[in-house]
Amino acid sequence: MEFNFSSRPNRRFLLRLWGSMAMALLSAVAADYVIKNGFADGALIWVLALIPGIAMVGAFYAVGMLIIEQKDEFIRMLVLRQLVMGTGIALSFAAIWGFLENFGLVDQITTLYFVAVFFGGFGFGAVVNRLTHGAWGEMS
Amino acid sequence: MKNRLRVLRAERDWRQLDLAEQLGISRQSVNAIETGKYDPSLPLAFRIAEVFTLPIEEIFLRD
Repeated sequence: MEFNFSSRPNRRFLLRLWGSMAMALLSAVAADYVIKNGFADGALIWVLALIPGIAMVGAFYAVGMLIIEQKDEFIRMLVLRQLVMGTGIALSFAAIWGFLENFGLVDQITTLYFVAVFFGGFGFGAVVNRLTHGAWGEMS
Repeated sequence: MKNRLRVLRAERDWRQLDLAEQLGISRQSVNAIETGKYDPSLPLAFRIAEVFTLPIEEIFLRD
């Protein structure tokens, strides 16, 4: 799998995605350390806990901007297919797990897992694109 | 939709990349159009026709 670094939308997508992921990871680790060791209280805890989630929103923004900035209509269609697959898989997982949880068959899980499932589905969509259309989508 | 893109490109001795650069699209897009995996939009079909200096109906054919 190759990534077309000469494409400006692709380069921006990677920068935005990795930037927001790095920010989310670093702020989550920092917030965990500060809050669990009692270095923060009151409103500061809310602020620290909100930062990683807001940083993750940047990853969704990156996907959205990739679609908007992509001038190649075929590649844009492939990315949209990936987005539909990622969303569909994540919502299906949420629906199935939610009912299993309601009936006490499985433990409650953190909703953060749905984000991971979405990006897993987004990546799976790239593989489906390669098989059906001969190109990966955002990786082409 | 069928098309004669591969034949027309070969007649001009162009690589997929050469055509892609003239059209301002990716090589993968040219490949997808040639293999019938993707039908281009009307604006892109017009650009293709301009590059080959042919009417659209001489490039794209009804199934």
